[in-house]
Amino acid sequence: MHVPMSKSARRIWTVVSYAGILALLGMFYQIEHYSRHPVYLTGTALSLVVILVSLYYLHIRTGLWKLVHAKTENLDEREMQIVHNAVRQSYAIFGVICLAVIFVSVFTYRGDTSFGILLLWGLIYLAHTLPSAVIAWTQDRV
Amino acid sequence: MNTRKLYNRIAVLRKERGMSRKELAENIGVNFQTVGYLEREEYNPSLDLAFRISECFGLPIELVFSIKPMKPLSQELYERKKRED
Repeated sequence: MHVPMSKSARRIWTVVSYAGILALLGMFYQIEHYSRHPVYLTGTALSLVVILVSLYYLHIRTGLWKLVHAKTENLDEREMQIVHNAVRQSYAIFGVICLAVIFVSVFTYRGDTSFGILLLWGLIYLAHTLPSAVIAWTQDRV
Repeated sequence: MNTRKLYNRIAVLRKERGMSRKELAENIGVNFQTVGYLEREEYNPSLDLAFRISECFGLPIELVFSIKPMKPLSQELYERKKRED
């Protein structure tokens, strides 16, 4: 599937996608530690929906997911160059985010296993989607 | 590393031969979007790809690619003929 999307639209979806993850983590943290108020439960479900919708519109519908996860022999030299640059930048961004998360966790960890698992899920999701998000953010045409 | 911009006549040559971007892409072994990037001069091909493109059009590489903005082929042929005369 390959439906072109303007650069500004791709950037908006990128922000929405990662804001969805932050919202999901925030809501879940609130539920686990403070209150199981229906607002937070609804917020958690809504965040998950936002993440899934953005995954479809930003990564799958634009063909970026397929591009980033394609085998090298199925890419031409321009695509290889784009993917290589995106993976390199993602590695740097992901490294900084991981260091920041670990640093904050050192001071705030309360033995909250469920939240820790969700945080890990968020980081793995980030690792998988960052290269295509970098392409979506930087490339003029996709 | 800063690379120089490469100019080319791919769009003109492709249209002259009545080829679609997809057909050219299949002939030179790239994605059809890459042909668009090449035609808009937004991507500098590797030497191997540049040779494949030239071979596809049956022309010497210097007639397809240049480091200077390219004149129309008709003008270049006319000037060459004038020089020969």
